[in-house]
Amino acid sequence: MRLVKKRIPAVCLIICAALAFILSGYPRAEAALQVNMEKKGSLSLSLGDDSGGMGEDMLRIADPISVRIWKLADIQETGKYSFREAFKTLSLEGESWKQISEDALALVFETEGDQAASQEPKIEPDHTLSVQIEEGKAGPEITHQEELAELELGLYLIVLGTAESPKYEYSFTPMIVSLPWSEYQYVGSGGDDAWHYDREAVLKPSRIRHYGSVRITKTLDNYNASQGGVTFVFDVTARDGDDVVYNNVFSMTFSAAGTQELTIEKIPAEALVTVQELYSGANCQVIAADDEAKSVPAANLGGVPVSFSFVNRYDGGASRGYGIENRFRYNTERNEYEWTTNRPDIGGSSGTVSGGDAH
Amino acid sequence: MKRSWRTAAAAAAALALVSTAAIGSAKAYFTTYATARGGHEITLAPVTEVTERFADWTKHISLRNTGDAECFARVRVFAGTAYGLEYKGSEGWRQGTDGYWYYDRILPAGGETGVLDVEIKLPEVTDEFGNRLAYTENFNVVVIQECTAVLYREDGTAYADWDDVLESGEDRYEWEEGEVNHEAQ
Repeated sequence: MRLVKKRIPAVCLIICAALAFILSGYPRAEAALQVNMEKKGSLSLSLGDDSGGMGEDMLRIADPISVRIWKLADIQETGKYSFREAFKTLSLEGESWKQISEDALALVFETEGDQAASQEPKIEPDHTLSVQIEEGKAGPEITHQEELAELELGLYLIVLGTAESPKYEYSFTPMIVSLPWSEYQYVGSGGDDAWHYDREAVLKPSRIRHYGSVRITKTLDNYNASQGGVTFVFDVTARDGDDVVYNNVFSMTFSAAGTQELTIEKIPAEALVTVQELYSGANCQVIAADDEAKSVPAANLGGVPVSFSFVNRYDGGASRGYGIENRFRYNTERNEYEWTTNRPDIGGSSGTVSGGDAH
Repeated sequence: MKRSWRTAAAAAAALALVSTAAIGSAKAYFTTYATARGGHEITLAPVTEVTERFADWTKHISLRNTGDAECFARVRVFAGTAYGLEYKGSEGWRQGTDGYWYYDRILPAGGETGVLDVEIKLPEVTDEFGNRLAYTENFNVVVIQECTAVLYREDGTAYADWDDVLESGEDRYEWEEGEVNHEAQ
């Protein structure tokens, strides 16, 4: 019991120190030792520990990733920074260091936030290069960054452009990096105040899924007009491995023989899609069906909808009937579902219902 | 010769249709045949129209016989596998083993079934701490309704044959471009 009491403060201290180091992320104080102004700094961009499991897919990023670097400030022998003319309004004093990254981006780009990296800057970068992600000895690594091996000492803003794999769009959090740097800058008193002139900057990627489309082509070879319209129902399921990432049902109703197409958008790219005809009308039979799983290409990368074809014919059945597709669309502003049908001619076919947390 | 015999038989069947129209128990076959022959429809085939209301995530489904002939009716509802469909049958509705709900009573012309309620159960979504989140995915639910003619056994009891086929195959009819055409004699 006594051991536990003693350990708790120690663990807390370690956690607090670690959090301070992680959360700060910016150099905010000068170290005690003098900076060797004769030296150059070396910067190395890294993916760290497989970038949270993204590394394997990032290897499929075909195009080079743009890296733009702005030197915000020179560093003095004492370790203090003197901001350059274009960045005179920036500050590391007090609490200002917490938002220096955002403030610097606002000076460089018209727009803040996620769109900034894809914009033309108002201030020309000091360095522009294109890097690539390739398989290295210890996993995915960033290559073609030799230009960063000899940089002037100072404080830098590093902005990477977005990158596309066939499955995801990647973006990277802009970074502020000091050359040289010291532990003292991050943890204050108690931290080692020795200056380090080589710096590994670990990228912080995030990603969003690309989407593609599925097209269902249905041909009805023949049709018994006296039996009225005939409806077909399809199940569309997309899987990533064992995980279902999309599932919905759709219908097509024919009132004549011929061919109809149905395009379903926003299917996660590279998911394996199957389309199954769940219902073949009251009096039709399936002649041909696409029942194999197919991968969906990303639409924004030029991928065309993946196609599934079905052919049916009248089977002589005496039953008749049709279907109504009820469509539930979530209105994010009103936090409720809007309900409509594909048969507005039939009464009671629209309305709203409370949001999805009701059930 | 064979074809002539068939044509004569078909004509006789059509005549039989007209003569039995008054008792309202003709099969849909006759409607098809009459349409093909005469170019106008004898509306003896069963026709039902679905009425759907929706409230509190429950579909209230009923069918109305809009044709001139009595019929049997059935309903089936399709949704994605993530969505639960909880049927709450009302009087007259019976759950089949094939996914359909059957209205066991004869639906007379102009008649309407009782209401079949189907509650839609949305998937549960939680955050990493197990807190319930609002479900916001768009989705569809397809309601199918079918009807078939009322058939009678020799003893007069009524029944439905959902697999019944029209006697219009072989070389007598072909369907093209959505129309029923009579083969040239």
